[in-house]
Amino acid sequence: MSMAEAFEILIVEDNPLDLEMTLRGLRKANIVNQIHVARDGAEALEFLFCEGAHAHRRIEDAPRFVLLDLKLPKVDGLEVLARMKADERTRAIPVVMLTSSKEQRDLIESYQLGVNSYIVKPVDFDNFVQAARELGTYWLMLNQTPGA
Amino acid sequence: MKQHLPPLAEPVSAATGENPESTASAQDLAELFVQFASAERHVLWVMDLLPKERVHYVSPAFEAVWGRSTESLYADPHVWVDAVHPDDRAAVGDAFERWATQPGVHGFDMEYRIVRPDGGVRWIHNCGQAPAAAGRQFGRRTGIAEDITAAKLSRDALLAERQRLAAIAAVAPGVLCTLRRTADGHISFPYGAKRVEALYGLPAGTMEADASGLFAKIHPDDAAAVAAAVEVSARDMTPWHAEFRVRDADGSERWIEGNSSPVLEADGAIVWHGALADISERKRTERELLRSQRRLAAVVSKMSEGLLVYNSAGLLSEWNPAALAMHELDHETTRGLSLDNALRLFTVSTLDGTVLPPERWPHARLMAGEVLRQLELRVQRLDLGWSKVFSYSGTRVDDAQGKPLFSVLQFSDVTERRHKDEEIVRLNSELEQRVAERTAELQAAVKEIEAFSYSVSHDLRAPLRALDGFSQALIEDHGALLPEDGRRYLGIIRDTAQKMGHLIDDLLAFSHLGRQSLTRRQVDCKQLVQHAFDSLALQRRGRKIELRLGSLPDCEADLALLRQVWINLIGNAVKYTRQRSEAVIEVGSSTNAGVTEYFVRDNGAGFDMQYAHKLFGVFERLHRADEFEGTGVGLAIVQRIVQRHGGQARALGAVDRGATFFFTLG
Repeated sequence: MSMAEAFEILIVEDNPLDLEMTLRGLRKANIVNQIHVARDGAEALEFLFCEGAHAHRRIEDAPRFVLLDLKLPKVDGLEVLARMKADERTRAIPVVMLTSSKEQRDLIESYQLGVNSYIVKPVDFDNFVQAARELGTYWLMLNQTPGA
Repeated sequence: MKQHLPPLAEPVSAATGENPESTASAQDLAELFVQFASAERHVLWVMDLLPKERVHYVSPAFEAVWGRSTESLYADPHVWVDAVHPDDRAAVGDAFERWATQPGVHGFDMEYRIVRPDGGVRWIHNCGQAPAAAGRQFGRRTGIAEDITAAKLSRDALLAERQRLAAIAAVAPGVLCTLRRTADGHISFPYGAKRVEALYGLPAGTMEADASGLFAKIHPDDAAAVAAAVEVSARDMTPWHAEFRVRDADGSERWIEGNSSPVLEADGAIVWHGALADISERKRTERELLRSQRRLAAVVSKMSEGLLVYNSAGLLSEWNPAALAMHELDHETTRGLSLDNALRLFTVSTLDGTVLPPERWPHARLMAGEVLRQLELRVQRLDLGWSKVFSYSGTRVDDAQGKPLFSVLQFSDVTERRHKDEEIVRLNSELEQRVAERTAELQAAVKEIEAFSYSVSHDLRAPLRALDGFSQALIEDHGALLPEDGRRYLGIIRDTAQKMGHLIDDLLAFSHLGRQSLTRRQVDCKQLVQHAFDSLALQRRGRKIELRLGSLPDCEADLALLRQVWINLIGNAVKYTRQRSEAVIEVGSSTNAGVTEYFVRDNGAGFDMQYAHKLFGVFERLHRADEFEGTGVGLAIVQRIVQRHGGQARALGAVDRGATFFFTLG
């Protein structure tokens, strides 16, 4: 497996400003791993299941974790999560939901689908950076994914 | 009974001299005696008591009456005594003995029974005398014994008949009596006078001999008619009948009915045999019945329901005015209304429009024994073009043997009601449809609001995050290039963005309250208040606050929502006592008429009561943001939660003298 293909983090985010802040937060937290960005749910699924533009990828080269926005064009975050958890090959990938919603139903549904963590994007950027840092550190340093 | 010799048809002869008594010779007398002695029922007897008792002569009739031979009597004079019935023998013996010894003092005249050898019983009237002339020295007695059996039996029968009549008269309903009117007009009651007196209320003993006082008792209005009826009966010898009133001393009236048949007697008198009866009760009943019938007729003719009566043959026999009016028929038309005519005038159909054949018309169903209860049918008058809905009820009336007598059909015009019912059904279905439409609209609106708030919570916050985040990035990455003012401005941008974030959060929470379902259960208020206070640790940092807990009874409420109420109220108290060096927050309750009102009191900044009405409005604030931060949603949330529990919230306060917030939970 070539290093160029080994993405360790998949970020699914449609809002470019949020994306930029997320990337900046991760950078600030010194998380500089290979990051792939998908701009909607469909693109995320293609990447994860190595289809379409990502047909050349091997499914075994799964990201270490996925930062998944809830509200996405085309296919929304909950459906992406559902598809991942329904498939044997992607089920083990940790997923962190990133959303601006505090709606109970989103939260409940996410956990029912087996999300690993859930972060409400705060307006306060400091808090967000803090959260992203903690997340990245936690999942990358401590959580050893099987087969990685 | 004295025996007289019948007067002789002719004086015998003047030869016996100046004797005015009789002209008969001894020869004549002897012959006469023989004639007498041959009588069949009369037994002549001659008896001598001296020197010894013996029968000197007995006429041949003895044998026929006594059933014994004359020889036996001549042989033994006691035969006649022995023949006397054992029950009478002693009395007869005593009387004979007394008469025999003292004939002047005692006569012998007895009725008694004898028993013939064949067992037959005969009644005998025996009458004896002691002749005054020549025979006396011999102690001679003569007499005649008569067989009176037939007379005796008929007399007994008559007596028995009289007794029977008396017994019947005594118990007969009414008074059996005989009125007699002589040719000169004198009236009397030879029979039944006592009972007549009792019936008329007249003094005892006044009617038997002279009944003229009777008419005074009769009601003046009836007296003439009664008298006239008597005259007609007397003239035509036809039965007399009258019903009349008699008046009693106390003014009360009684009705008497009289019936009798006249019999003309030989002397020109007329007797009426008959009966009188007190018919007051019957008259009263008749009057009542009449009155009741009139009342009933009045009711039937005045009632607004139609009433039809059909005879056992199914023909219309009676109807009331309402029935005619409802069908727009007159009496004449109705009287001659045949089924053919009726079919030309009317159709009868069910409410769903099925036209009924005549055998399914209401009266036909009654005739068949059906009972109808509020059967609604549509009746159309073909020649007049109207259509009405009648509600029919009715039944057939049978006699005790179950034979149909007549049928009664009652009906009312329910056209109006039927229209109203249909209108109601129509309006109801319209209403249901409207409700369904509105519900759908409402559900759509709720969905829209949910979608809106969902979208607000996501999309409205994204730009704020960018404002905040890039301001922060600017400070971090290029802060050194900015003058002090520039950095302050960026700080303001960040603060404002964060404030707006809070506003959005609060607004969403508030809007969410209205839609969230309520789950009531028993809540420990004391514990809840303590937890709320504890959860405000951050806000209380560095403060000296005394929490005083009063009575806090449990309540039935939604735990999460009630927690929010306490947090908001205690949070406010903490916030607005910030300027007090020693803050006191008092939490308690009071119960009035079964309703518990909780309160949170503080000794903080308070408020001006003239703005109290604004306290619970969304985004309404009584303090400037630079005095006390806040979004103006906290109390609005409190009020909405309390109202959703069916309770109320209110506040008391004064500037700088603290505030008290009260709420109930319904």
